[in-house]
Amino acid sequence: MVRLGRPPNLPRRRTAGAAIDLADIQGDVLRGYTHPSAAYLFLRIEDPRRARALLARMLGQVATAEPWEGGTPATALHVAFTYAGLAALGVPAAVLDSFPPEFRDGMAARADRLGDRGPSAPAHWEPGLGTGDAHVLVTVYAVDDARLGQAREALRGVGAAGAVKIVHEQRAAARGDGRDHFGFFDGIAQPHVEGSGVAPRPGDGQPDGAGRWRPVRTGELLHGYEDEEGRLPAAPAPPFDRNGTFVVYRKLAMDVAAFRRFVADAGRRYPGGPDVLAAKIVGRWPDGTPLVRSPERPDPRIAADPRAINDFSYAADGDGLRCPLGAHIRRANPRDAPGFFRGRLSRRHRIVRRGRPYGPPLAPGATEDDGVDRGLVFVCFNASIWRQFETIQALWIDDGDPFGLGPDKDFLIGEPHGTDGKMTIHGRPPFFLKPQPRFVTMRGGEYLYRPGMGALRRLAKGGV
Amino acid sequence: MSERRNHVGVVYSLTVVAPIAPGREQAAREAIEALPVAAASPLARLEGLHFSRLHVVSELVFQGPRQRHRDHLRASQLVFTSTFDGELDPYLEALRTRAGPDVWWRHCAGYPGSADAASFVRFVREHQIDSSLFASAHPDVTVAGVKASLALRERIVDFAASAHGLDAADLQRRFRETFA
Amino acid sequence: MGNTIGRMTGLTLLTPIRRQWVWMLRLGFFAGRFFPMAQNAILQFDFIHYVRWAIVDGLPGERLRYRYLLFESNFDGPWQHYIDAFAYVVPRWIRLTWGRGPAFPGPPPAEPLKAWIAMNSLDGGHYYCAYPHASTRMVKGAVEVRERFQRLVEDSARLGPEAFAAAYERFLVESQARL
Repeated sequence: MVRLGRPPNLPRRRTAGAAIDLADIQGDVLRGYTHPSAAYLFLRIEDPRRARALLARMLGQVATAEPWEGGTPATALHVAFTYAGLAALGVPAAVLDSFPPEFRDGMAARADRLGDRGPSAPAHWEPGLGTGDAHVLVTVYAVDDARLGQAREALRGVGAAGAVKIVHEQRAAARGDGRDHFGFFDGIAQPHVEGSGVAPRPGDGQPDGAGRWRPVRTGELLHGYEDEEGRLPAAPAPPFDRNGTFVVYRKLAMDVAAFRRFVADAGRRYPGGPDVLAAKIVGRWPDGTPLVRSPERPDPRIAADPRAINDFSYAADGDGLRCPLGAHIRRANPRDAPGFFRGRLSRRHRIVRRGRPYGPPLAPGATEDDGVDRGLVFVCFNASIWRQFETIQALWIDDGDPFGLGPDKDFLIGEPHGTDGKMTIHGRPPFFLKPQPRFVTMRGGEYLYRPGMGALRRLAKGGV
Repeated sequence: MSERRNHVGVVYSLTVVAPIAPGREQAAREAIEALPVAAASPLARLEGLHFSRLHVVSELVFQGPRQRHRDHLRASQLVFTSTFDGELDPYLEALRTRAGPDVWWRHCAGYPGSADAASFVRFVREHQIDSSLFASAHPDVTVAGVKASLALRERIVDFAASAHGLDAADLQRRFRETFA
Repeated sequence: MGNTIGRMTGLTLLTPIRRQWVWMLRLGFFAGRFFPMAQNAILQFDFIHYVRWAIVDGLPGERLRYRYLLFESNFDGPWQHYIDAFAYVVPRWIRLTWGRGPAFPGPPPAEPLKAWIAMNSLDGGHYYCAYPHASTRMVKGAVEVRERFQRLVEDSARLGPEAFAAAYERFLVESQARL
């Protein structure tokens, strides 16, 4: 079996009896693909009629969530729309109005509440993002760059000219070792969604309040299914009321040199040294070992065991002495941390992440920026942008109050513009990192909607 | 009126609901909306005031068919709430003389103005509604105490962040210079 | 929804109480003044600065068929998360307090309760806070730290360097969750 860029300690998950309408759901919503290469093409609709015809022609290549017979295809394609895109396609006003306000506003209009300020503000975003020009996002996954190039060319050839125009494009490629540009193993924690047909690993779901894990309800990810409240989540009007989800796209540029310099410099003063300091900021060791399980050193036995690497709880670490209260992964997914009432106040704020790193790595050991664009294409899916993504970003990343940290932002990815910023590394004694440098800059993003297959077909026919 | 119910710790909860004179509802709303916010608010002149809210209620929300009787307000009501340090009388005196309450209450029926202390206080007390239960996460701290504590916290963090690795003598010397 | 300034949200509700339950609410509030259990149920979340309930028996010049429950709360953050906390952690208290009104959608679930609150929230007007960027946890934490810090300042005057260094470290270890 060809290993398609899957990192060594995350072997393929077994499928386990799905219970939802897989044929109507776009594939990457329920399962992360292992295709290392991806291209994100943002298109503006120039002619609605021809755009619909183009969509109809593309439909056959959109992969569904059904298991792939005959192995993983070399390429897979998916489609999502911004609010402006749905309007441009002629979706009637009554249906457009049924979409939630944050989706209609668009990400750029909500920059301040998300912490996208200063250099991360929409005024500085890359062309094509946040301006209302992005209507459609076509995501192409491929097993390698050559196939990616071919798929992209095929798209061009299928009569896109005159129908749509590419306003922004981003390539991404997972690194072979599964790490992000800061050198940390990433993408480990993915919510186990009920009915996804993917076998769960301990730690992937929600804490069940009794020390074990249970799946996250399907409706937290997909419209038309029961959510964590046991009710159908608010969804747009038909045909967008089932099997669709919202997509959050953010291009996050990472200043790897600045991170290395900071860790080396502060690590000289920090009693544990630079490696421990970096792990404390992230919440895991570079190999993925969770700090809460092994605070003093990475543990290859845990890192190599998919049933252990994500199986941990914060319930016994209320002081943050093992994993700091403001560590990145602890903010992004608080699980059963004290203050979240055994997961009751975190369970409605989960997201499914599907992004990839982009750009070539910075040379090992280099501590000066080489001027090359690199970072993370952050993509996540959720049934409610406001309740899920925006809560994490605005309340847990751009602020620290839910963790008792006042205005402290996420030290790894937060935008410190306008504040000094700080991070407390809890310990005996504690160590304070102040001020907070900028390691990540937001370069542009969009809110999109990924329809089910049936809704896509209706959109293509103009029959919404 | 049982004053004790309005107290918790060092703070007092004042709730005043006064009818707006006929035809003056729009003017009252506009006067309230026009008040500058934050540090420029007239209420910012009252040092011991933690929170305050002013708004106009023109109708009672109907809960739906399960509500058997429907109530209608004859007059719109101006609701003014305050949470402040200390006792009611000193607060009312400060409110009367420094915050310009005529701006909102002059639209209310029977408001005597703020020139005469006795009639002003009588108006407020007549329209005061006691709290049935008043609670706070930090009932024993004054506004000055809040501000001083927050400012001190910043200074402590700044000091701690800059004092890593100092030897004992240096640490004590710098501490004394900064804080004593 | 309500009023906001800085981090603060002010939420005011004025809702009818069914006649037969007014006495029970009065009793409940009376008990709540003396027995902290009810207050702790609400305050345990550490995001409410001040909260008050008042039973409005009547208003001059008005003929009202119901008594009304006035609720005013000042808390940190978006009101929906605040309600999630109530709905998921202490739903019984919420039902006890507001459930004496007609058509109250008891939590859990939280969404109908949020809709009910959105419908009943008294909006607009003027909202003032003396410290709009300070959350409840920040205030509580800072006040505790200040008390402990006074003792440390005294120590710096009377202890020798080694003893002070130890006292300083102890202070930081005890206060670190609040700094």
